[in-house]
Amino acid sequence: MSEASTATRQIAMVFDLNKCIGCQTCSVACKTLWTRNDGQDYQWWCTVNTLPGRGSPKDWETMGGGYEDREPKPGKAPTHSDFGGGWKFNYDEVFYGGKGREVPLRVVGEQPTWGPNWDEDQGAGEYPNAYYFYMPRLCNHCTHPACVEACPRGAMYKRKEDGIVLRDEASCRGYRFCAEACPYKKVYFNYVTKMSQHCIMCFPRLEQGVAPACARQCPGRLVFVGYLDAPDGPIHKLVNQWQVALPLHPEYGTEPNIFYVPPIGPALINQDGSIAEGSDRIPLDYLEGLFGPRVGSALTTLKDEMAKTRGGGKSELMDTLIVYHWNQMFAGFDRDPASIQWIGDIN
Amino acid sequence: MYVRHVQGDMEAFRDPQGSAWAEVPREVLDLVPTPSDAQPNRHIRNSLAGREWGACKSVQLQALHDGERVYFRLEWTDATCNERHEEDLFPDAAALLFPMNGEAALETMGSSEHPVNAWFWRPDIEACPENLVARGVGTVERKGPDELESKSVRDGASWKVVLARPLTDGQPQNGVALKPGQKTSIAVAVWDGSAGERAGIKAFSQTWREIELES
Repeated sequence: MSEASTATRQIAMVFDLNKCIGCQTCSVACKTLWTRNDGQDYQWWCTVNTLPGRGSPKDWETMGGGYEDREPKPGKAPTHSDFGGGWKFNYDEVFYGGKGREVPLRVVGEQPTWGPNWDEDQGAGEYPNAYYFYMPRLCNHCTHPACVEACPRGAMYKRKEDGIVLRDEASCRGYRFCAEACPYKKVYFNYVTKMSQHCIMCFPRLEQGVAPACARQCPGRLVFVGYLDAPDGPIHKLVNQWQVALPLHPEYGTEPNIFYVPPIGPALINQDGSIAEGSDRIPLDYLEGLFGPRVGSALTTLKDEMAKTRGGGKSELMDTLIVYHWNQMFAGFDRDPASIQWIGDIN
Repeated sequence: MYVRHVQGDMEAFRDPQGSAWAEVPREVLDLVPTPSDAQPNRHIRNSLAGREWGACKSVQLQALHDGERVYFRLEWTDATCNERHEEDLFPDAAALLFPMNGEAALETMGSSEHPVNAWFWRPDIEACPENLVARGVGTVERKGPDELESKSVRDGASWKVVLARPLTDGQPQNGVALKPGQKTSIAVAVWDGSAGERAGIKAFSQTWREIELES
C-alpha cells in the first residue's frame, strides 16, 4: 500500500445518485473554470456517464492500476482517443460563413467514434424493465493515491491539511506513470504542455470557503462537501454514521474520498403491466460490482428510512439527503464566490 | 575514446549528415535495458514484469572539439520514428551522461555527493535540448545557463543526432566542465518511444567509457 497517506484531515464529497439527472452542469462548471487552456480541449476533469455503460475513458474499468493484494497493479494510461472529445467544429462556416441555414454544425476532420458520455441513456435491461442511472466522476483524492506512489519524481503529493491530491507542474516531466497507476483513469495527459493534469478539487475555492464548482453549480443539489471527520457535517453522517454513501470500486485498494449514495431505481414491471412491489430493477449484483458488498445494506437503510417518512415519521437521513437548505450540503464551504476578490484571470 | 582537437570551420560538424563526420572515428557502445530493480518504485517495477524494454542494442558515438566547443554525434537504429507525444506513444530520445565530480554511480544516476550531468535530446525539444543534473534516480533537474544545442536527422531506420556545447557552460554545479588534455567518463542512454520507454525505462551503456580530450 502507498505510504503517501499522510494527510491529517480529509476533504471528501458525496454524490447522491438518486438525484442526478445527467445534466452535465457539473462537467461544464469544471470545464469553464479549469480546462480551457491549450491541450485541455479533450479534458473533462468531471464527467457524468450513463451506467451501465463503458464510461469515460472508454472501458476504463478494464485498464488496471490501483492495488491488488496491496501491490501496485500495472495499468494503462488512457489516451486522447480513449477519452474522445476535443473535436473541432465548423463554427466558421455555420456562424460566420453565411451558411447557417444550410449547413449543420458538425465535426471537422476525422469523425469521432467515442466521447464523453458517448453511450448516453443506453443503459441495460429490456423493455419494460430497462434501467440506467447517471454517475458523475472526478479524481477521488484517494487516501492511498496510486498516482502519488507511481511518480518517480515525487511531483505528486497529498496535502497534509485536507488530503487533496495535487501535482507540482514544475517537477512533472510527462512520464504518465500517474495515469497508468490511477485505477479510476482520471488523469489526463496534456499533449501540448507535455504534462499530466487532473481535478484539483477546486482547492483555491475551498481555501476561501467556497465549495468546488461541480458541487456548487449542481442544480439537483446532490453533491455534498466537507471534512470526513466533521461529526456534524453531511459527509460524516452519510459515510460513517448512516453508511449509505460508498466508494466506487473499493477493491481497487486506493480508498477513494468521493462517495456515492447508490441508486435505488424503480421496481420491476410484470408481464401483465403491474408493478412488482419490492423488487429491484437495477440488479443488486451490478451495484455490488460498482460499490462492493456493503451496497445491499445501504439500500436497505435508504428504503427503511424512506418508509419511515412515508409513514409520517421523521428521518434525519432523509432530511440530510433532501437538502432543505442548499448550504447544508457544504458544511461551511458555502461562501458566495462572487464575494471574493480573485487574483487575476487564470484563463 | 579519444576526442580529437580540430581547427577550422566547425559548421559542418553541426550537421549529423555532414561528410566531415566521415573522417571521425566511431566507437560502438553496447546498450542494455536498465535493471528492473533499479527502477524507483513498485509501480514501475511491476509494470515491467513480463515486458521487454531497452529496445536499442547499440549506439555509434563520435566526438571532437575545437578548443572551445565539443561536438558529439550519436547514431542508432530505431525502426519506428516517434517525434512527439501521441496517444500511448512517447517521443524517442537520447542522452549523454557525464560524472560531475569523480566516481559517480551510473546505474543510480549519481548521488547527492556525486551528481551526473545529462545532455538530453528529443525530437520535440530539438531547438532547446535539456541540460540536466541528477543526484540519484528520480532527481533529474533542468539547469541553466544552457548553451547546449542539438540537430537531428531521421535517415531510414536510424536517428543521427549531434549534441554540441561549449567545453564549459555556466557554473560548475550546473554541468560538467570538459578540459583539453584531461580525461573524464561518458555514458549513453537511448529511449524507444514506441516501446513506451521514458524516464528510467531505457537502454543504457552499462559502464562508464573513458574519454580523453586532445589538448
